[in-house]
Amino acid sequence: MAMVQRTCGRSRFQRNGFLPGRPESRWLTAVVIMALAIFLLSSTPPCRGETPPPGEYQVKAAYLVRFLKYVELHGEAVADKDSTIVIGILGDSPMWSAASPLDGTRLQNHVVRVRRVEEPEEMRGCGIVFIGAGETGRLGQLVEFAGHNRILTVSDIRRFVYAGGGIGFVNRGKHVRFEINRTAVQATGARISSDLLRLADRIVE
Amino acid sequence: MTTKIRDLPIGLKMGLIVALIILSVSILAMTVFFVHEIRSFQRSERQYRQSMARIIGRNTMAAIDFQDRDAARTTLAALAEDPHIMSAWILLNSGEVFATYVRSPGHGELATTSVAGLTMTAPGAVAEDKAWRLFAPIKTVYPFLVQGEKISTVVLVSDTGELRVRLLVYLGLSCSVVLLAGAIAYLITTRLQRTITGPLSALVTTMERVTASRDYSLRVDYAARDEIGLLAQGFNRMLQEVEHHGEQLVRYQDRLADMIALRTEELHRAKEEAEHAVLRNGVQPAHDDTAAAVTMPQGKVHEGGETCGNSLARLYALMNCIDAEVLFLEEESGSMLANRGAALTLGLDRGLCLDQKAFAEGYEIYRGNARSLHGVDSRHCFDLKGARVRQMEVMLLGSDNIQHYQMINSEPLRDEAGATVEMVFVARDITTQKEAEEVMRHSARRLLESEERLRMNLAAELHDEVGRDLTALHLNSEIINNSMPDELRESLKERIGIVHSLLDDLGGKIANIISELRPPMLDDFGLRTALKWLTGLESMRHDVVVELLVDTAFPRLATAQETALYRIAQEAVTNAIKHSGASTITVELGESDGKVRLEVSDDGSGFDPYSPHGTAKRQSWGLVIMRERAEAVGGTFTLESIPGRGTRIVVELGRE
Repeated sequence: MAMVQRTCGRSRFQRNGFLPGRPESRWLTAVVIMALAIFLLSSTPPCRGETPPPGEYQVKAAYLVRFLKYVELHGEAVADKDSTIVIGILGDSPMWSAASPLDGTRLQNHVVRVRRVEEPEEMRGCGIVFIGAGETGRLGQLVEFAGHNRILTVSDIRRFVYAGGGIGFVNRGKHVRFEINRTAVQATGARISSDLLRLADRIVE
Repeated sequence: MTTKIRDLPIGLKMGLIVALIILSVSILAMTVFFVHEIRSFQRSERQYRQSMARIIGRNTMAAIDFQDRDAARTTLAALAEDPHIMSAWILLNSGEVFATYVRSPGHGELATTSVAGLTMTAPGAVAEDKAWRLFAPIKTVYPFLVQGEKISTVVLVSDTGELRVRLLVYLGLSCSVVLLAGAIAYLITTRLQRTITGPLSALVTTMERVTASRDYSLRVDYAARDEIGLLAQGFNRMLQEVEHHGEQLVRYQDRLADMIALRTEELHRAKEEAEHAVLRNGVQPAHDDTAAAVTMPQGKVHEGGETCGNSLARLYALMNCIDAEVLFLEEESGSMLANRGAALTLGLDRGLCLDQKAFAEGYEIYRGNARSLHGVDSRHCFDLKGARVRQMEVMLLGSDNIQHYQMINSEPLRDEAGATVEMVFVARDITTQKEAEEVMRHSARRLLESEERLRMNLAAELHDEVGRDLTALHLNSEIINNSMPDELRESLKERIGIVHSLLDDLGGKIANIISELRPPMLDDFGLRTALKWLTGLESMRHDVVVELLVDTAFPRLATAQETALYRIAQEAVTNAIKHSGASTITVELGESDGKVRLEVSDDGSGFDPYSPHGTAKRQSWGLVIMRERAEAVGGTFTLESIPGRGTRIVVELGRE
């Protein structure tokens, strides 16, 4: 429980970005505190006998895989040989470290493969591509490329679905939720389950 | 209780039976339907709850995947549409409660206790509350699997209100059906039982009428072919047989009475003819007086019967007028006075004879020809001094070798000192009477033989035919009794007992008639046993002691002799009981010196055997019959009776 509180404190602090004092000193103080906090969080071992709560990207990585249960991808997005579905991680994102352990996961009749993608051309062959937050600058290009290649795009970039993306993660308190751009998803040739639609925070047409 | 039910009318018993059957069948059917309804409800409820749990699991799978508890709760909230779902849970594999639904706050506590330990449920197993009572809440634990992987566990708790309502409705319907069926069964039973109780009532009524009136011509009017019809037919046949045998018995009795009356009339007629013949013979003249010359002694004889003035002559004339042989005899003087008949019998040519030598010769001839009919030496009759026999029947063999019978009466004439000086003999010819008696005796013997044969034939006929029919009747009655239903046998038990009693009584009466007609033990075991049975029977029937004295080793006799002695004893005992007022009657049977002796004596009033009136007259025919019976088998019959001192009859006969 103490870990949860610490995590929550950190999130609230990160989201609000609120500290008293002058702007310069506030920024400095904030950097110091963040450094300490990061150090403390990274060095604090989990309590004995408790499973540490999954991190945000671990949750998102798990969701990324579970989307495959409720979204029937276009046929070209599934490799023919061994029904492998490739999830691409584009950009420098914590998602890579969170999703890479899921490589080889069997999901229904498919084998999930996680692959790192640097350039848009490398997205070919992927069924789903997660676009990291660092790719905001070329987001339009990426989304357009994916749309042409029937690749479902997922990202935690803010207002991603409004930018033509397929599924966008949003944080609701300590929970991770998602939004769906049904038009974009359908444009890739994928069919999305009503269960998933029902769970979506927002559905954009 | 059983006795009370047994005594109820058959109609009420049938109604009770039908009611019990309907009630039993209804309870059984209701129980079966109740159990079936409960099982069906449980099965459908289980399938329904499992389907619902599966739907919930399926609809909350995505919510679990994406940790959306609100979505899961929203899914569970749809259970509010089912009023019997009290609460529901979705459990994660870790045991964590993912979402809950509680219909009312009171079910929250139940929810807490109900989900304890559910995480241990094996994957794929559907757990039900094993110990749930009929109206206790039902808990369903449903592990939701996808491709063999357990996703979650759905727990549903529902009440049994629906079952309660359905059972109440069903109970009401069942009670209504039972009441309706009972009413219909009552109406049908009331109508139909008349077809059974009606003939039975007619049968019972007929039995009561037969028992009360002894009218065996009554019949039960029921011609159906069912068991009651067979019973009625059997009862009618039994009545018919009883009626037939009753009529047959009456006919036998009438026939016996007619035959006895006929034989009695014949005897009376024979007796009257005999008496008439004697009377007719008595008035016939024995001699032709006009042709005979009367010789008077010593010149004092008057021809043609004229009075000579002499007393002797008058006496002689008087003697000749009497239809008998008259003889005056004075032994000392040797004088004799005989009328013509006596002179003719003695071979004298004159009635008055003083020639002793001639008289002695004639007298010897007479004595030589005369034979006493009763074993007494005929000379005693003419013993002047002794004069022990005053009356005697003798048989004379005449010169023509024809037997004649005479009744000789003697009377002494005494002097002043009382000494016999003269004897008067009167001999009357009784040949015709004897011949009539012989005819009558022969008729009597034939009559006795005929009666005995008739008795034997009648006894045999009664024994063979009526006895056989009575046995068949008894067997048929037993068969009818055994073939009746138990209920009917119980209800007719008293009547059947009366019928059996009547049959037994009828059999006993017929056996008595047979025994009295011809005692079977007389033929089978002899005279001693028959007399023992007779004396015992008479002692039992009348207030008199009839004792039998007989040697146990008394041998069997010839059949005719045993029959004669038995009938004589029977007649003597009957006469003693009827006429003497005796308190003790003794029958003694013995054998000595080759002669069988039967003696029947009593201590009754006795009678004068020679009196023409009174008891002797009343018993005369019976005495004659006894004598005839004795003489018919070569025996002798002796009667001794003194008024006030009892009577004794003795029969003696030699063994054949």
